[in-house]
Amino acid sequence: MDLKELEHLAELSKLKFSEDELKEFEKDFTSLVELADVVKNANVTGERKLNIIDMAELREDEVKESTPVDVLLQNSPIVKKDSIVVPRIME
Amino acid sequence: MEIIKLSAKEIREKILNKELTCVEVVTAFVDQAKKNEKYNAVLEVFEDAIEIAKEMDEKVANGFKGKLAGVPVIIKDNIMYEGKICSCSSKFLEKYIAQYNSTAVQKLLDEGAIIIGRANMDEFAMGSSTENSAYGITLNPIDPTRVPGGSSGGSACAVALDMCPIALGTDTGGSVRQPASYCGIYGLKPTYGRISRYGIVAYGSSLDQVGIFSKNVEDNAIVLEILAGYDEHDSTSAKHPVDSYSLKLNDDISNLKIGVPKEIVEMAKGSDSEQNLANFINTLKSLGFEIVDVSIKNSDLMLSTYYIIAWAEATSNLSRFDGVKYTTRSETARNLQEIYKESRSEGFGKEVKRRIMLGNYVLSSGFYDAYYKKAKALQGSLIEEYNKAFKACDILIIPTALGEAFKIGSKASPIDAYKEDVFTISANVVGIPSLSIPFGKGANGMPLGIQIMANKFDEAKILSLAKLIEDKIGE
Repeated sequence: MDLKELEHLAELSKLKFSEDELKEFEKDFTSLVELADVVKNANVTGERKLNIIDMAELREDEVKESTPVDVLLQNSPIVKKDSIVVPRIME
Repeated sequence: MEIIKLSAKEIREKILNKELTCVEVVTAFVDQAKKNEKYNAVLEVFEDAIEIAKEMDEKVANGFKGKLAGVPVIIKDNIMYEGKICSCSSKFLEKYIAQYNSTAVQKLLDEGAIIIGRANMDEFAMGSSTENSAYGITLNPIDPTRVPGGSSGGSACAVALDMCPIALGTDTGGSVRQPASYCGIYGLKPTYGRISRYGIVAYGSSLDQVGIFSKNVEDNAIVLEILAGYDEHDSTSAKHPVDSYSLKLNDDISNLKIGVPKEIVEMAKGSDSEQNLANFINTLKSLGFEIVDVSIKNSDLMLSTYYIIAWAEATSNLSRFDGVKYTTRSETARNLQEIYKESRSEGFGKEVKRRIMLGNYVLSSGFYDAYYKKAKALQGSLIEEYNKAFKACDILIIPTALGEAFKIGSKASPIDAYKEDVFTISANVVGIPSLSIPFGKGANGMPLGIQIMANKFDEAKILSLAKLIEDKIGE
């Protein structure tokens, strides 16, 4: 894996790295991708399982009491009129 | 009588008999936690615990007989307890306050447990040593130059140092069992879906399960009985009936057939755990159990399968931490993209960033089929392998870890750290229950652990066998 690919992954991950950090990642990534490659190179067929247990059937769609909006928003960084404030995204 | 040495069951009995008050009990454990601050097992001791103990004393005086009346419990920092910080040992959630109780916590509270603190962990449960916490390393309770294991290292250390008789952790790939082994206590990862995950901060949603730390088998069984069961808030929780685990501990289990998976024994070759497993097999034989060799094909692919699934799920789960909704938002960000990138880059630690990157790698266009899809197929074939094994035996036994707790800082490369999980991940990949019991010592006198595993929802068999061995060792 080269630096360019790592930069692409960082973009997908919405993470920023300095060049030194990326170089360090590059070193570790090689051995970790090798770990993943064990699966890639394995000659195995199997049924893909979405869930490892049988899911309980979904519950009825009933209106019940839920956590109030003002309580839920207590953990948000900037709140105005029951909404989370974000920068303008359209000019 | 030293209060902090009592089991959860004894504490409850003495409180109901009026030999002890909840205030006396909580004070003793809180003092013990404060006395051992240098281990950094507990991130916060809850100051209101004494107040809650007073109220519990009144409730008990009025006839309350909850199964954990007055029993102090410490929870891992990714389990929500209303009104308390739940930081996942991450800078990102430093100020995040839980707005509701996780189902596990609610069930403990309903039975009269008193939550006295939250325990340190590897950030977002990613690690096997508790060295990845944003709030410092937790020390091993037996040898402070070593790690306590992880990711639930704080919870394990707290129980081992008598800060509480019971602690909760979470186990995605061994995060309860491996620290239990390193700290010389019991750590149970139940069947996937046995305990609700509602209110647990997700890491690998198809692998995560709440786990229980205790100093003896009976306490573990009592707590499992309370926590297990279907929860309408978690569609992956199972509607399977809940056993009376603590009442079944002395059931006749002499006809249980014990399987030893030869491929996994092969992986232990040359480690401390190889001889220890042999000793354990001899103990079982002396108790009259039939031991059979079983084969689990593709065991060598388990580690890679596990990490691909765990990375992929981690990267998806952690995308919710975007600087918009929860607590931390970078102050330097000027637009939406920068909010995402700067907040995440400032808030997450190195290991978390690494796993997010790896998750995006295995899920990205062109790689998805070769890695993620194939890992899920392999998971399917491994489940079949274990189903086959459980036709030949009732119980599987394997080591918990390769050896003793390792020295702090000794696993310099991530690949070395990941390989630590080689024996614990199978229970998560195939969704079966596994209990790590303390058994034997390594070359440096540190505790070792053995996992007792059974088929889905067969926790009762595991706990009964563990009880038999506990009694045998205690003789």
